Amino acid sequence: MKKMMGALILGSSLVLSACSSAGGSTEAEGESYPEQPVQIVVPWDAGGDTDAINRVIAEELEKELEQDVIVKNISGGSGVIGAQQTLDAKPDGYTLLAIHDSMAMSELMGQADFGYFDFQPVSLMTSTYDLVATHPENPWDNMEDVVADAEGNPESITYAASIGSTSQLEPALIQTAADIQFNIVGYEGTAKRMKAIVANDVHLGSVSIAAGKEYMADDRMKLLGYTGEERSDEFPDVPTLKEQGIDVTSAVSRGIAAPKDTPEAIVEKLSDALQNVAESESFQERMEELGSEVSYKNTEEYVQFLGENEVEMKESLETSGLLE
Amino acid sequence: MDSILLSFESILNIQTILILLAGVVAGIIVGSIPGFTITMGVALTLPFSFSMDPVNGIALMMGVQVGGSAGGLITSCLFGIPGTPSSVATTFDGYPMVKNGEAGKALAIGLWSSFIGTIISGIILIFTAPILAEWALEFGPWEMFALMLFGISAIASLSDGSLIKGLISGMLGILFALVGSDPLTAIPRFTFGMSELMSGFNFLPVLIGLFAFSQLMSDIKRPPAPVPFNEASNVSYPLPKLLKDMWSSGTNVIRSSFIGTLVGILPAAGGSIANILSYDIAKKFSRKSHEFGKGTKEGIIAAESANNSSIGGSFVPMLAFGIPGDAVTAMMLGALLIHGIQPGPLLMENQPVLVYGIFISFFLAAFLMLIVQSLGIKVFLKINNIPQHVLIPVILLLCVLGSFAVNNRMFDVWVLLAFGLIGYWMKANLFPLAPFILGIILGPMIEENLRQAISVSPDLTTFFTRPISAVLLVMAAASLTYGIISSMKQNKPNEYEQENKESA
Amino acid sequence: MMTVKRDAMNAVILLAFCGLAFYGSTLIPERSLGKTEGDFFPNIIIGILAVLSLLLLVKSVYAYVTSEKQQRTEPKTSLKERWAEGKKVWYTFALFGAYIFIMPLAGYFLSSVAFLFTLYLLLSSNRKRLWLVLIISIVVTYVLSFIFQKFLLVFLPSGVLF
Repeated sequence: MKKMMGALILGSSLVLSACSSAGGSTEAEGESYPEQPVQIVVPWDAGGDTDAINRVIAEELEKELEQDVIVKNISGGSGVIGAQQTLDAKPDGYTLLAIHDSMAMSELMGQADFGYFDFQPVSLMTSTYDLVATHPENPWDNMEDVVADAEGNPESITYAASIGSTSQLEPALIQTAADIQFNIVGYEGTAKRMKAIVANDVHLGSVSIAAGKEYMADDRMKLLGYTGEERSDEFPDVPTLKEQGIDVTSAVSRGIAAPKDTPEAIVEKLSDALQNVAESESFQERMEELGSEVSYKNTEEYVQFLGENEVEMKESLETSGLLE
Repeated sequence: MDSILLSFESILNIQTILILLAGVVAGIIVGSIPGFTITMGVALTLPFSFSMDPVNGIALMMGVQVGGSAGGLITSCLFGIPGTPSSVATTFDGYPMVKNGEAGKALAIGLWSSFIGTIISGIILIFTAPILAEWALEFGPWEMFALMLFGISAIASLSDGSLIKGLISGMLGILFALVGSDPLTAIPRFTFGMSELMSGFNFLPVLIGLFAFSQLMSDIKRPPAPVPFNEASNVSYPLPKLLKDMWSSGTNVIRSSFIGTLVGILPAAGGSIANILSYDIAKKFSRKSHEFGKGTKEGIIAAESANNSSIGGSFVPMLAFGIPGDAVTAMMLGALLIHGIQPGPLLMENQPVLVYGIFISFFLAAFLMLIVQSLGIKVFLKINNIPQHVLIPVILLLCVLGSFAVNNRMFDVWVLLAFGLIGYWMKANLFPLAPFILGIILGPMIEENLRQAISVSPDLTTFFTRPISAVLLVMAAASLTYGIISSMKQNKPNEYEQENKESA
Repeated sequence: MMTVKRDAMNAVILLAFCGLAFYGSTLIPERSLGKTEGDFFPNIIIGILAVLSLLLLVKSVYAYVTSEKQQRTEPKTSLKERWAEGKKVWYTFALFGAYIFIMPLAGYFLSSVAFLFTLYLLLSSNRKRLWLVLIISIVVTYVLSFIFQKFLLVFLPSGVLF
């Protein structure tokens, strides 16, 4: 038994020393930050768009910070699970969170009891717009055809979307703007949605630019509209929804946040490093390959952006009847 | 043809082969530790793969996957705990065979079945990938629902003992899988206010809890009789004998590999379903179906060739449509995306060297797996000599670590304990565990596809007017009836007396 | 006969569970977001499970009634004997529960070493060379934590008490 006590003491002293060394670095207030690997929590599955973009960010950030940057996937609950864990993490700049619009969505829809401002936003990095796609066999050639058809037969046109996430907003917004009714069918995740469109299991769905290119070239999809403000460079022939009389733009804006109360100096240092990342040629090239636009905003601008984003989303959810 | 030669050139260099080898070794280790899954292993290689060129990156992940699938076999046979979700059915006959004193034989047959399964599905892929890809598109919600129903009909023949208990077990599995946010409307269900339950129960702690605890606890309750020592088949199994064994089960190997490949092709199906489905089909086709579950080689062959061949199948939708079939291919897709390669219908035309390179490294991984594990089997068999009271604490610790690592939270470790208790209760009261697992895997997919189908067209006759769906539904009905009849025949002479004997 | 009686009890437990599950499904809010509500499929499964549990109850009661009298009373294992048999199992479960309860407080290292060592004491009747067992427990725990933290980048609970 004595030996066991000895080990207990030995063990506890080990734990103690581990704690104190971790505690020491928070005091440094950014001067020496980062002294140990930085973790970016991606609250989505490995292999998705958000994961890919953040892995590129991590790789580029590593060069800027001269320290390992690790991506950690904690998926589930439409991004709520991973966010919850970052919320509880130490605000020392060593745990960061990849966020996008779904956070506001989850809060508004009551799936999470926290939102953007329970974190310390750092920087906006990218914006990604979608294309509305359909199977080539379907009769519509643009959104105007769809609207005309839907006016005559409400709920006859099926639209695949992950209900409860941002992809549900698109059909919801189009419905309100054009005063029509789709039959929105829940398909969780981009991959399942793509399959449903390519196989014509559903009529409409949103696809990313990168995916759209491949399928267009093989004549497996028709693109009916683009959700950006202006036409995309990749698809100059595809008109925006606005041009087609549907007053809707919709983007997924991805950025980085830290736990609340992270020292200002660290946030500033991160934001500057992320700016360098955003301006680097290699990052911009890789984002183009992934079909996303680089749209850096510093902390101050990002906070303002998120505030507006939240209000806009609330309005769209209300007008589309998803929220009372 | 030129591109195939070029692909060989791109693969057959020391660097790629070493990377594959490292992947295979890592996979075998990850797969053989209860509580660790292939998915976890592949996720850990993801960051490394980004700094490699695409072929090498994919080769690394593939090595882990192929090695892991074979590694799962070891724990399944030696401890009766599935090393990975895709080796659940391997425990049904692998563990009894080891208990009969034929550990060497069980592992060798499992290994060779994995190997041959991989090779067969590789050959199918190289010649028919584009056709198969088109075929997979035919599977809309209606067909997927019918297929999953066919899968779940296997419950009847998997519930050795009481049919009612088997069905109860299956329904319980489905019910537990429904906890968390509804896949179609994102509304939380059965969470009783716990935010940790929003994403449902993670499959890994559930699986390990059910199998590991129930198995280890019954070992604690009644320490297993020492395994009869049989030099010839317990340690190493002679190759000529083994090849003869495999040859005499040729039909089983080929059928199971085909089933595995086809199941793998369907999005979201994958190894765990292939493993159980193929076992069930082999049992139904076999003239000696009563030997299943008691340590027949046919059971191991069916289970192991199917889970490895499903890996090959899962590449098809990933490469041809950019649609990942499971978590592992999703990560491979990510590895390609990050290099600016968007898989899709044109990938075969645009990047033939890459695509064939992937197929070839799949073959190569199979050979490396065979070599590494043949050498490793002897080491693993030594685990058999470690006394239970040393092994059990360590296995439990590994289960805790594995469950914690899934999502970095203690909650999943509590889930492990909860399902450990459920599994122990089920086993003590003779409820079979396999249907529960089947329910957990298939339940959510049955629901999702059923409700998608109803949302798209509320007309239920669509299930019968679409030909593939109709055929699958008829097969499901036939399989269920067959299972019920054969289970009733088996149990007619006073079921309870028989159970009494078993539980005594 | 043990099984028959126990199955009747199992059936009752399952029916109670169905009740709980049904209560859970009434808590699912209706959102009319699609053609089917969130409780559509769960209710089907709960229904099937309830029917099956009833069948099990009927079957076990029937088996009990039709069984011969002498069979009904014969193999009587006392509760005490059964507890003696399953004792180690429940101790193991309890120990495991205590382990994962303590881990976030005392940290991974301490709690794991203690768990390995105590479980060994529980399972083995051998009391020789316990120092070796302790050393092995420490080494196993340390090696695993090293692999997890260094290679797999999984950060294990470090404890809050210290």
